[in-house]
Amino acid sequence: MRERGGWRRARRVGFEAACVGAGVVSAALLFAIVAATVWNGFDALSLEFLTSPSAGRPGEGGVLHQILGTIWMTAWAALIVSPLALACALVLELLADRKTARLLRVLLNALNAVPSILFGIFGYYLFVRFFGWGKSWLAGSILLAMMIAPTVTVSWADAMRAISAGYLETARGLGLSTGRVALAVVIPQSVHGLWRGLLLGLARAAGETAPILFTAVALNGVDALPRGIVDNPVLALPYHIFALSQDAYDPAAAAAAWGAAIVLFALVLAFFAASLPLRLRAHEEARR
Amino acid sequence: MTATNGAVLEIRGLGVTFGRRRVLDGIQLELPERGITAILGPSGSGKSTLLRALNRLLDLTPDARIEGSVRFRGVEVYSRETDPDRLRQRIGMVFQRPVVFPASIRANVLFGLKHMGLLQGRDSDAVVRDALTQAGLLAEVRDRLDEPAARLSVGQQQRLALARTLALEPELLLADEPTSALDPESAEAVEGTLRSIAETRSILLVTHSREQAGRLAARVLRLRDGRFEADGRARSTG
Ligand SMILES: Nc1ncnc2c1ncn2[C@@H]1O[C@H](COP(=O)(O)OP(=O)(O)OP(=O)(O)O)[C@@H](O)[C@H]1O
Ligand SMILES: [Mg+2]
Repeated sequence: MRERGGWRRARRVGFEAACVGAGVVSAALLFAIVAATVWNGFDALSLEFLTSPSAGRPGEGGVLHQILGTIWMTAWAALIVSPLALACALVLELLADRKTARLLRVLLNALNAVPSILFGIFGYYLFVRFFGWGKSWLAGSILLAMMIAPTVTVSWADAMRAISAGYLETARGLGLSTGRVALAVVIPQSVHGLWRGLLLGLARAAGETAPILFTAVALNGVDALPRGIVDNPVLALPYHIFALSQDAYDPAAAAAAWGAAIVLFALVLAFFAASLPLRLRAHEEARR
Repeated sequence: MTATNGAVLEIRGLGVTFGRRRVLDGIQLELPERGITAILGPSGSGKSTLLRALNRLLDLTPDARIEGSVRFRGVEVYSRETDPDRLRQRIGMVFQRPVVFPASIRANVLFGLKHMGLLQGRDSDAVVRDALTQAGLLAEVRDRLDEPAARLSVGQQQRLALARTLALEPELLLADEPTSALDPESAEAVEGTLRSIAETRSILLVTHSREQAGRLAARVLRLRDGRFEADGRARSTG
């Protein structure tokens, strides 16, 4: 018995050490990325950089239009993904029997595993060529929405699952139909979790380059915000960084790329930070 | 509203299996138009399952199989024509542990009516007052209807749950150990409430307390391993 206890303790200690180690490695990696970005981009950062459009040669001017374009495309991705993910999550949690639900989850995970460049190529053939949209911000929003749809759906379904079974049973016991239970209980009781899942999805969408590369963005020469759909690309931070990096032999372009990277990072961080208080509240809800 | 021989509910040969496990078998029971019928039985004997079978809440348990016949006011509950949502509205249910929604006391009472669109053209204050009076809770919460229901004591929450069900004016009430989570005073209050409801309606009460069954019920049945034991018919309690 003694031996066993000792072994168990050793295993627990080993497990804890592994957890701490993994945590330290991820934290160090995150720190290194942040440090490198800030170190290289700090000098490029200024109020003017944030509030003026880019101009002339690569690396000149600021990133205002890139910020607006990214926010614009991300916001529309949110509008597009929300009804879709809501329908899927409700089907998953309220309508599907266990077998169907499992199958649906497998499909969602498969979709999640599709490399983002494939979304770009698919979008190019569908929107740019087949629909004849040329480069269009809407194609970008749709592709970003499709790309984050599985993550958002699964996190929404999980938020809905965390609702106390007592609420659902009580509502059904009063005679509420499935649809009314969704409106009266499921959505309002999981709303913090829904916001959180959406924000995390958007944080990912805002930073993606591959899906929008040949479908939705331009380097320059477009208005701050689009005026239509066909042949209306926008500027976007990730693509801006990508393009500037290709000119990185020019020190001005390199500095501007790092500066834009800080801005993008701050934007993504803002989405993430906005989701944090919701995470706490979602946990409180689940505990009730 | 054709009641066959004065019974609001008739159960014939009701059986329930979960997967391969038989939980109820050959249940026969008739509930009168009013008064309390009590079911006693050890834990796991199938009492809650029986109640859930009667308002088709068991439909929502994927691997439950139900056989036999349940007639509510002469109409087969398990026929294709019966709308289970409407049925659950007419057969009210109170659960073992009180559930209140994270909202005000008032919103909790009105929950069912509001979300089924049955509040239009009705005086919601009157509905709230009436339901809380029936549940014996009005005096305690009259001045704080807009406070969160979660602040109520467990006993008050159970009566609030009762009020929420009564607001839908159910024709039959299923009560699953409604006092088991309560302190003696709260339990007494809920018992009083059940007694007065039973003057106009039928209640099927599951309880683990023989004393409670004796105090309240006109008829006491004992469930064991999914079957009723010898029927202790008509134990009058005055
Ligand atoms: N969803 C389910 N799936 C499988 N078995 C179940 C399910 N629900 C209940 N059972 C089983 O059916 C039997 C009867 O359960 P039920 O809840 O009706 O008992 P009970 O008489 O209400 O017990 P208690 O007094 O503890 O509330 C139990 O053995 C239980 O494990
Ligand atoms: Mg029970």
